[in-house]
Amino acid sequence: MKYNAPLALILSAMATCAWAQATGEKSVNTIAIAMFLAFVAVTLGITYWAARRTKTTSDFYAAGGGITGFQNGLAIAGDYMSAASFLGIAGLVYTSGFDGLIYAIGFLVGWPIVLLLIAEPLRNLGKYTFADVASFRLQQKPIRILAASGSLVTVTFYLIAQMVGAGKLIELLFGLPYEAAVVIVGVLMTLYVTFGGMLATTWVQLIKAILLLSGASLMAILVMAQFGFSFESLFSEAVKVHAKADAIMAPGTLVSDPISAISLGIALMFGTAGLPHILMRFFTVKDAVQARRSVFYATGFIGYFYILTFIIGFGAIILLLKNPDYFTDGALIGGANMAAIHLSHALGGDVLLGFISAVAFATILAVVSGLTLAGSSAISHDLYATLVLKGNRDEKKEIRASQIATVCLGVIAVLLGIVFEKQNVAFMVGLAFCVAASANFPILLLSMYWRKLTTRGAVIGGGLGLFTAVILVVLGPTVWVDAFGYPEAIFPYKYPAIFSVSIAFIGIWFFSITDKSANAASEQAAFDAQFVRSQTGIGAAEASQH
Amino acid sequence: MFAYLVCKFTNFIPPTIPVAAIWLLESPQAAALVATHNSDNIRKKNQYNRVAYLTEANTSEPAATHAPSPPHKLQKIGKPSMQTETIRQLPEYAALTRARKKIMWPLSIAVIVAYFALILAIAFEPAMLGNPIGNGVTSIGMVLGLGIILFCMVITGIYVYYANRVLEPLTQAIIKKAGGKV
Repeated sequence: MKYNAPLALILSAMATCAWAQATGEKSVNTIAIAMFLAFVAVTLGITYWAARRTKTTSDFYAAGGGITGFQNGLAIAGDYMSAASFLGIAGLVYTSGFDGLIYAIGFLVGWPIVLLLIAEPLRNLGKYTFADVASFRLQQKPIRILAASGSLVTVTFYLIAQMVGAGKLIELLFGLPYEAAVVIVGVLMTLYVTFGGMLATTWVQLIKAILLLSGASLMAILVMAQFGFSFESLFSEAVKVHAKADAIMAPGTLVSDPISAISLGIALMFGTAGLPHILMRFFTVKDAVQARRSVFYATGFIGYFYILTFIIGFGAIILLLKNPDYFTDGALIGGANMAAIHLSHALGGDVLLGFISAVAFATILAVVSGLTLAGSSAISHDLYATLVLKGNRDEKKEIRASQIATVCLGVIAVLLGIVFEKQNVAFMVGLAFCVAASANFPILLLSMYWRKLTTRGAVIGGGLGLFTAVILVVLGPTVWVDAFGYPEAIFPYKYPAIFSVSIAFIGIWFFSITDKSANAASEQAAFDAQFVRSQTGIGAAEASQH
Repeated sequence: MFAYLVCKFTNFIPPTIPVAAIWLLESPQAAALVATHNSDNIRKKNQYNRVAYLTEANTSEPAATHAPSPPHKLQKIGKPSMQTETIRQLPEYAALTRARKKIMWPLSIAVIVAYFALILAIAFEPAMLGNPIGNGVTSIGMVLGLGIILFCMVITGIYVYYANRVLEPLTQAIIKKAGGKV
């Protein structure tokens, strides 16, 4: 696996330069392009280095388990802090103030739950994917098919949202055609994952997380410096400038009814604990101690980042609304999601704008790489290795399958990115969280803590959760009305998690307790052994060496 | 950076605090177990001191020296192996599971309650959240919202601190008794 990376580096650099020149007359953004090329060069160099170290499945899926807790915490933050949440939350704060904070909190509150309930047993029981844990004492085949489906659905929705966002953003920032932008993202993420596996993906996350945290910190400091580092003066200035005046200090239109509010809360809180690309990161560390250290650092970084984003949103209200340069026909150029980007220009001119643009691009690349790796491991480790290879583990074949899956996912992601160009894809991240909360999370949680769980219960209940989540979103206002154009939604709520998560838990409970088969009895009897291992880690190292 | 500082800071807190905490939460016996392991960690070099207390229990039955089978084998066995039963009988194991439950559920419930209280306030009492605090413009909702972000960081800090000081020594003792293999 040590071929092609330098060649690809040169090719992609040349291609980017050519595009940059083609759009030369409006290239205000040479700094951004230079910084972006530097990022690509460094990350492809890392991929080349990682490719030479990636020989076994453990290297490919879990970076050989040699990532430290601190590094992994930063990489988790890198995986989680997407450009969508950076630009989206800053944009939401810019438009309606407090509502942006609701999302920021929702994206953070899942982390203590991941730490307290999931992280350590996950590390102690699993090897490369969360399906390892779910199928620990249950039947391999049905559970892995279900878990892989849950993973792939989550990854696909997330990936579409990121690809479309990436295309739009790059189109706007670098002046590249939309399709070209989507193809560049697709090619780079495929290169990272195919050749460098988890090791390269981890380092891409680390670099991106450091860049994003420094860029956002700098912007927030520049904003706060103008208000003597006082939130009160920041808020009072924003209230004076904003059209909604003091309404920006209170909840607005984001969540209009109690069902939607609770539903959104459930999806965000428990969805985090079911995201396959996040769960996968816990297998890159040595043991449970490092796993919990990872979440501690990750929570710190992510929480800090959302506070920065919030400050940036308020900074945008004050500095942009007063400046007509950023508006055409009374609307912010590029829409509210560009608030953070315009603010970087207002604060630091072309240099900061170039830096933040390059950071936004790096952010997208890192997130899609993590997603692609999670998707390809679900295909190769859960489906191919269990269903095709069956018991005959063959590392070479499994890695090969994973690489082929990565390339296929790359192509599919590019195609979907192009197909969905004109659609509003904002709901897709919400849908990804909803599916993760309704299918992946209940199976994972109950397999760890509930003795009576059986294969039948997990498959029927988890399947119902997955199915309900997808169907209710399609029948709800975001797809049925906004995307399909029907006048009225069949299912009235935007966020179905309160129903789909309940159905999943009730389904799993009911079909487990009524399962009187011999298989069920032996699965329940195996709980004690599993619980001992999940609590102490005894036996975990042995499994991950294979 | 914040997380890093907290983690560094917690290293300076003497190990007696978690022992006192577990005394209150758990029982004097559990506290004694933790205290033994903590002081052992300080005198790491002397290996034999670490297992001095082990003789009190489990002397008749030698700890199993093999680690449990990988998952696919376990499933075929279908019932707990001797290894599992041996570990489950250890006083440290009972102390570990009880100590973990005592920290895990209260902290989880605290986060869930805090978050859904805010969500319900947003749903039912949005105007209340918009009320300013004092004479300024900063609203109650803003303070609560930013407070929850900090609260999440603090919760993870508390758990990691407790886990490193209380749960980890017990886990290490169990591993040692089970034959030293992880």
